[in-house]
Amino acid sequence: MLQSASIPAKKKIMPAIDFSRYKAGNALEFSGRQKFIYRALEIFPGLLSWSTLAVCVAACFIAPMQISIFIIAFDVYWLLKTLYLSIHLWNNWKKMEKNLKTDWKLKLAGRDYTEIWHLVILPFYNESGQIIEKSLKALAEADYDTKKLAVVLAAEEKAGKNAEELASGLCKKYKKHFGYFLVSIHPENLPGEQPGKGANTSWACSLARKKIIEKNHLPEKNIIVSVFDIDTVIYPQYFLCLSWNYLEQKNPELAAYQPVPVFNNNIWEASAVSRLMAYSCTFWHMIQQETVNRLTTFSSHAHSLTALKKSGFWQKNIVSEDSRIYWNCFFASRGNYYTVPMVYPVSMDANAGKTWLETIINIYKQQRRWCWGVENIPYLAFGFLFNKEIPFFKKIYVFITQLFDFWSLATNPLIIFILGWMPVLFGGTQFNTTVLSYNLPIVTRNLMIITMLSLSVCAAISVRLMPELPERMKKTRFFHVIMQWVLIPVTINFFSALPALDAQTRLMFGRYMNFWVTPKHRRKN
Amino acid sequence: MPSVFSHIRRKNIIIGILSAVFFLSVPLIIFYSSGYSLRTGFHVVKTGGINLLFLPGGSSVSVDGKFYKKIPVFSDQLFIQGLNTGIHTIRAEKENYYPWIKRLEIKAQKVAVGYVLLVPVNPEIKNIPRYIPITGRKPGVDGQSRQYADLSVILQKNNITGKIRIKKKVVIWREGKRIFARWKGRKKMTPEFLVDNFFFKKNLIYQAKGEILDFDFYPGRNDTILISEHGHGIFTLEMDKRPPYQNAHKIMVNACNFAVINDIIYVHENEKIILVRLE
Repeated sequence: MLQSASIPAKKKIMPAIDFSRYKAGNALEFSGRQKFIYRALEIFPGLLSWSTLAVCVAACFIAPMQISIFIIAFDVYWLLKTLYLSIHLWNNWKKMEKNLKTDWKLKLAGRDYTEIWHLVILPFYNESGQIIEKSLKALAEADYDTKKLAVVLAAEEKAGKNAEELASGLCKKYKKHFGYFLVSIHPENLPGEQPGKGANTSWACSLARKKIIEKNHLPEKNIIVSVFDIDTVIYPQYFLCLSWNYLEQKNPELAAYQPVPVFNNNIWEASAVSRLMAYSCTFWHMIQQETVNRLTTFSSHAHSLTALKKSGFWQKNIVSEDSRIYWNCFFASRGNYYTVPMVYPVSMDANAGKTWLETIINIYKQQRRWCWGVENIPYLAFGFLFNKEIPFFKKIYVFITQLFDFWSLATNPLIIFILGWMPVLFGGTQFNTTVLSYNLPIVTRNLMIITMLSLSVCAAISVRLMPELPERMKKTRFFHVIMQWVLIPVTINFFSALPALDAQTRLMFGRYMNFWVTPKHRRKN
Repeated sequence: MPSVFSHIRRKNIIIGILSAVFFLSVPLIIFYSSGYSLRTGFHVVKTGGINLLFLPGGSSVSVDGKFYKKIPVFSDQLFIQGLNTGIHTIRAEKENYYPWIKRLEIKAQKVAVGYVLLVPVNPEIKNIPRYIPITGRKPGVDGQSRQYADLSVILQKNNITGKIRIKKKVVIWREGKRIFARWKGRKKMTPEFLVDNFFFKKNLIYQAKGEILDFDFYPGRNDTILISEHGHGIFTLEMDKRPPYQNAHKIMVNACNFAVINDIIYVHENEKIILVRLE
């Protein structure tokens, strides 16, 4: 059965008996039957996606009538799903607009939030001082008692002396603004770790506990830990909003807190494809914020220190630590963990390389890394198989919804935009003389046009979300922002479906991905 | 999570409405797309369709004597659905073109293809000058037009004996006074204008009365041919033998050699080379 947690890391540990410390990374950490099960579960998402596509392609040749009927039904489903998501998006936008206008200090009046400490971890690798400084400046200028902020600038030893010197320099410049400021250097090549944000964050957090929390006797139960990607620039009332949401919960330590990632920092410098992907991502998360029971953590987010301590902090052996920490806490709290949608933005960088081609490649790699979140599927399924404390139907619901999201990401756009036309091409003479074969492209095209019209909601919100246009740019850029949405059929296939399929295929064949740091470039103003 | 329950209720209502729309609309769209139509008295009947190809922009189509639609300028085909099974007479016409008439049999949930042939009443005809005008000549040049000389070589080489033409898998050839066509592609891909002739592997397209001087494919088409016949001049003829008749139209009074180059017909009449454009 499951192995003991006391076995050293190199001997393939699996502390699955203790679900408060369930930290499985991949099948290689197991042996025997468990390895077989975990491996099978790793294969499953990719196999499901490829089987779906293979069945659809084969059906175009073998059963074109049946697949045409399926495609029409699927087109209608896609149209209604887009409509459904647009309703959520619009609702969330209205809420976010309201939240941005809200005076959170006033809302918190009468609440004892002054006892709350915010530990802010900023892991970085080789990003420039300009990027880090902008994030620190926003923290220092936050509409909050910044003396209640403990900031940890988490550098990597692997990044070399420059990174350490940069962190020390920034520490000197900004420490006076905060209650505490710590620079942590995550050592290179620690056993059982995969280099990446998870290992760095975990190291920084443990150092902060030792050097800030324990040393200064800060009350752990009043500490909220915000982990920000290094390009995260908070809006002024972020900590007030976070504190309010924290205090609103019956059991604040049973919740994660998720702001909306808006990729606005450099949005005017980004190319159309990059802007489109950035807003698609923002809108997806806005929609997710409306479906509370499916919301997990992503990128910059917050947890209570109590919850993190209970779950054993961030996993060091995986890539998608941002979503995994949610599932770690979920298992540690016997399935009672949930994510609170803050419906309040944090601003981050859109993908912008030095050249257009570099940007395109970076977008693909970033999307693939995000889609590598599919590594959570075997983790969840394996955990659910052995965990008897989480209710059965909850396990089923969580597993199916998570699996469905990854499956639809990898297959649905391809079914809609590519396979939709295949029966006509490969259906054969018999099929091509039917009324259905003539109607299929017409119906598909018309339904897609109506679906695309619902993207006008996205275009409208994207214009409202954008920061002020820099003076050096022409007003016609707004027109580009609206028109960029016609590229959706291209981007959804090349930068969503293909990276998702790529990630699932890699997991299927056991070619585990490493953490890829998105290069960040910003124009000097 | 105080607001979660009201949120979930609202979400469930939206899902309920959208699901109802899905389950109502999908069968309707599928039935319509498959050729089912609703007739008076709420009778659901299986219908068929017609796809008309090669329709020049601006032409009009009528079905069984009733005007159906005028084709937009940038369109070249028309799909008509919801036609009752049986025989329908299709007429395509355009000002200054000969009309095209065909009776097509419509089967339930199937589409019949019509290869429309609209030939201009007065095609553009131009003489290719044999000599360059004196004013345009360079000193020392004999004055013969290069275009005329090239075309003359092509037309003189154009020998009808053993002539075979192939276009988009359709082969045409002459045997005495008869012109045959054959489908070179896969049997089940045989187009509707050619009957799949299992025994003879060839379709008789035309039985001439006079001597056939030349033949070729109509510019840009593989379903229509041009024939030059002694006593009948040069005329177009569609291969489609479905009733009421094979649409044929005369474009030159005198029969003579011709060649189709880049969708333009060049006719060699006596010593003259004439350009004929059928657009």
